[in-house]
Amino acid sequence: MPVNFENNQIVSPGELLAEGDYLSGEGSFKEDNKIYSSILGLAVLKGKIISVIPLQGPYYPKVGDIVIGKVLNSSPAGMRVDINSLYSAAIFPSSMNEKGPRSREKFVQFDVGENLIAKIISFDRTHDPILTIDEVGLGKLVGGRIIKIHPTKVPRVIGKKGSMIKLLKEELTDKIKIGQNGIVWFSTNSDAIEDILVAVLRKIEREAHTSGLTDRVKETIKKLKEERLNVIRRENT
Amino acid sequence: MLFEEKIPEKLIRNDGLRLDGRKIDELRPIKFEVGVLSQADGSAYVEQGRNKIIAAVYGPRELHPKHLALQDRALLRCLYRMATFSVSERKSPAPSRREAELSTIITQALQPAIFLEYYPRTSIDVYIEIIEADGGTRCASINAASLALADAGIPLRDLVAACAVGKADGQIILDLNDLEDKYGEADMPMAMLYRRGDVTLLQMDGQFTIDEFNKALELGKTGISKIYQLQKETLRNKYLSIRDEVADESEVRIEISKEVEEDE
Repeated sequence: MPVNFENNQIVSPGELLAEGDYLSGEGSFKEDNKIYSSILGLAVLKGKIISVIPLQGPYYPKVGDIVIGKVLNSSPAGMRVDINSLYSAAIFPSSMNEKGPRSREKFVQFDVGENLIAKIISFDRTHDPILTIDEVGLGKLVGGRIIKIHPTKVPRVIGKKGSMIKLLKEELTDKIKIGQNGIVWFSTNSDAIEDILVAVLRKIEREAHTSGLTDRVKETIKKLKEERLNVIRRENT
Repeated sequence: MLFEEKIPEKLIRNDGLRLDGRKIDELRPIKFEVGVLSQADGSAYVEQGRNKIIAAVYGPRELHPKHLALQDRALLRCLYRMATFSVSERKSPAPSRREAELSTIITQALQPAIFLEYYPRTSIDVYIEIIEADGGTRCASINAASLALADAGIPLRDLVAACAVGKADGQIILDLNDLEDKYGEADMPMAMLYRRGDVTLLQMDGQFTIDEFNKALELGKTGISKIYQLQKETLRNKYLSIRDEVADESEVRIEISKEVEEDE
């Protein structure tokens, strides 16, 4: 049976995508054996599953995701963390790997306002997400700078098989961490690189639904770097 | 009042057109725009005739105070507010009975369209600000709010489109303006999930015979279908325009690289 769209076509809510023997994936729903889009996004057919990739929208927590958050409230019993989502997350002493009577003693309390990178270990409709920082690469984030991008655009910042993030790490800074919730943390040793990185992230965010993005970003970085160099040269002469 | 409003003797002129020059089944000129506010999760600006409306959507987000939260779905809250300068005589900034009523009916008109059950214990807040009012603001507000919801990436069963029908000088007319609303014989705002044919808002002020009512309902549907198409286009264009812009850029680049090759 034919579908009602071309791959990567922009569709709006309530648009008929296909009729008959298909399954509805993310961003679509089934009604009377017909598949409709429920959000504004790019329609994609994979096998028999039709889904719509969102262009806007909140971060919906998923077990196993790495997220970056900010401590809202801290006590020996646990911490509440803002993870830029529709629910705030919690970290408990019991979510540490260390079990037994000593786990409570090992729990390190962060101060309110401190940033951390953590993994979601439990979440469903009935309770808020629970985080852990008891893994390699997770924990407090010290120094650096944090910017927010749309959570729906995180996959483009990472790129196909990590191509985009590899490019950013090679060209700009290797101290960069991206949370699935759309918060990017990075640390550089020069303001110029930092400014370029922010500009590049904004560009990726704006043009997330277009093709050939990695190449264009590569060129933009080159251009911005040259511009910076020219400024420095002019100041020196 | 600064300018004394003249009560028109006739709402439909001798040549069969209305006072503002429209045909009886013609909509006012409409302008939709989405993503107008940078701080909101979704937003829309609507001009329908002389109506000017901004709608902003925040959410789904954590609900405070917590005791309002629903355990199985999100709570939809709409606030309709008129700016003090939106009407010819200054409107008091205090919330009026009318504003509270419209907030409620707009909430009820939008609610069936949203997949609220996807986001339990949260709230979706819609703020509608009337900058300038010229009749039919509740319909234009619903159009704006529905666009803003889609712009915020909230899952919808369908877009909600709304339009008013009424009666003036014995004729059924579409999309009433302020004068026709005030001095006409009937006014019936309606909102629909157009694809499904579900009517989510139907109010009536004045009198219709049963025949006239059925005729008005049909005319309303044709008006709503036009608005619905325009809403869809507006949403798609927001992203298509960026896509085209990028495509233009890459074309320019290809041309440059060709020139370089020729030079060599």
